[in-house]
Amino acid sequence: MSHSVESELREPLVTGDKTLHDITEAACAPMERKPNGLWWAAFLVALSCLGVGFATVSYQVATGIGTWGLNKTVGWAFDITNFVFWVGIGHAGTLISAVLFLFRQKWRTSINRSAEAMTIFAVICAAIFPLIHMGRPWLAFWTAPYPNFRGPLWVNFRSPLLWDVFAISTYFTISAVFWYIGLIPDLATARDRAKGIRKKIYGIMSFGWNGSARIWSRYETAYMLFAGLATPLVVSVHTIVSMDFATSVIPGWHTTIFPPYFVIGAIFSGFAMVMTLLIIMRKVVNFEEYITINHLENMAKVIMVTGSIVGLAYATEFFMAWYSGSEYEGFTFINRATGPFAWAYWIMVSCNVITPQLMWFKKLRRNVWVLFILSIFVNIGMWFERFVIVVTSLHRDFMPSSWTYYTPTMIEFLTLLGSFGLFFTCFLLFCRVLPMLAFGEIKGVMRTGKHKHDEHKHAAKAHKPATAKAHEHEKEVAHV
Amino acid sequence: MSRLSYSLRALWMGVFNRRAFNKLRWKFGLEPLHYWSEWPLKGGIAAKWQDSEQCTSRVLVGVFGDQDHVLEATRECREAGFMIHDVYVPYAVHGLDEAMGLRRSRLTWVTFIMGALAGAFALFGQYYTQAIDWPINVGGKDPWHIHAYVPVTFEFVVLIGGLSTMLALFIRSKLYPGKKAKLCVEGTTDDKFALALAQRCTGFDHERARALFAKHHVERVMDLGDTP
Repeated sequence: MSHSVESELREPLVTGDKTLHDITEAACAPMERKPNGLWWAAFLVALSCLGVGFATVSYQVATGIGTWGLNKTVGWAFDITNFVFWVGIGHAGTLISAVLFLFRQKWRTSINRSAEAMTIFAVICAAIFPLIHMGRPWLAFWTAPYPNFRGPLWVNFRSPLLWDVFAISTYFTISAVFWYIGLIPDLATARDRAKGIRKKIYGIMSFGWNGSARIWSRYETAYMLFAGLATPLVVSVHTIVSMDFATSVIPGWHTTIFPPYFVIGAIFSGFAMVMTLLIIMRKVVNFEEYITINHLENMAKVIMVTGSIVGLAYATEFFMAWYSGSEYEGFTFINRATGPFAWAYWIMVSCNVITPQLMWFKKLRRNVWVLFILSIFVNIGMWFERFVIVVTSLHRDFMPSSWTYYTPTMIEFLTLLGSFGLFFTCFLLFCRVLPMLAFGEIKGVMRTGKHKHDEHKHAAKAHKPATAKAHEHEKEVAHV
Repeated sequence: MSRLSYSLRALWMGVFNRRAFNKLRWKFGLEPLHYWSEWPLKGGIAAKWQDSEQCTSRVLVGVFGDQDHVLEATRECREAGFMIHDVYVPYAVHGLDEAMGLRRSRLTWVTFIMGALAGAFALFGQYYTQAIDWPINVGGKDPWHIHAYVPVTFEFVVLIGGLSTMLALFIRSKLYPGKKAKLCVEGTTDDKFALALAQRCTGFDHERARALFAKHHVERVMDLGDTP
């Protein structure tokens, strides 16, 4: 008798006819073996990028924000671009773990763990940029509304920048909690397989989990609650990020479309980054039977849909610039497409609007190489989207005498490189020490779409020796 | 009418909590009550357990290799009147809480109440700091303009709601960092499913329990002296 509620027509989520133990073995293998040369090479590259980033950030903090290419007209450029870019990357993890969970999308189980880890690292990368921009990052705690001896002087709760402080810190905390709660059962599995110091560490980290169904029941409720909390949170975070711009009075920023446009852009870029990482990961650690081509195809579909919505948003912005009759708004948009930064604008359009449309073709959607290249394009395009929004709206302001061009300095480039270094260092370490697959969840969905007659055959095969063994054992353990 | 009776029943179960009462009885060496109606029978007189060794926290554990088997075994054992101590499973088996007869978790209430409190606190805090304690004119905006306070209030609700849910889960389930895991049998975090029946009092029908286990393709049966 089976309790699978899914259609038999569905393709299985995990291929290769696995047993539960096979899943444990495969998921724990990368944590238990020594890293190979490829991992070390990637890690060293990431670590050196991080080192470069550390050096440049130290230099900036010691010298000042004057090391950037900003000027009187363009007072906001590279750092906020990177901030929005990383926050956007950080959206896919929670989207995959929370929104897809609420929509009962079971294919999420193969990808949610690494996507959540990616979220956390991306939010850390994002948070670094406003910290540097503060100039005196050691005073960052002044953004917290605590009773102080300066009056007390309170923070301004009417500023979207302060909303951002709350949004990003809440997002980081809740994502980290969600991720860790999900990790506990898998860490317990790792603990029960490990020996020595690793057993001790996983033992501390797994909170004494023993698989009790009473705890599982509560755990499931809590997981559902976290998903329910994280879903509006993920929408609110990028909404608030967009309000950093939308609540200003700069033509090109002051539009009501910004919140949905930013949220969908975040999902778009986040999924692209997840895809880039997973395509490499599934190959390197041999997870092709868990992260199947169907998973990649599903992600490609999300990228296609969100890419189309992003394209629609670009068009709507142009339409509104014309339809509103606002001269300044109209100028900003004409200037975006034809002005000195037209190159950035057209990179953005071709990467974000044109390439995702290739995903209408099933052949391309199921080709790993095409997907990999596409995801890189989308990553580039989405970085440029933020750059275009920030810089092209500023560089030609209301007074033509102050019109200018913006060129980032080497320091700014190296800081961006450093943030990538931080991201990949964290991600590579995560791949080594924590379970990359949420196998506790995969085990729960592995029957999806399995053919029933197969199952009966397996069951019959499994029972015979089992009952014989049981009889033997009964005699053995009559009394303990 | 049914609603009234339901509320009365809920009140009854809350005030006259048999499990809590049995814990107390246990302290005084009294036999636990299965039904309140047993109270006069088992008496307030110190009816010490005769056979205390048999009536400890002993469990009979059946180890299964498939979720469907453990699910059916759990359901049938409960229907046959056995007390399910717990079921140990490597992943959240769909439908197991119904089979065990677990009630819905009340964690949702923690989230709701703490979230509501956090929202009230955040709104009040913003009002106090912006309009009462030190009103500052920022761009001529009204010091008390509720729209501007929505984002922070919302974020605070989610933050406190989420953190208190996490804490409630850990406290209620007695999970904490560094806790030593008591495994029922090896493999319940890998691919084994263990059904533990409580042998609380006299009259635990071993034969019947083992027969039920065997019917559902049990792999091993163990009689454990101490509950995991």
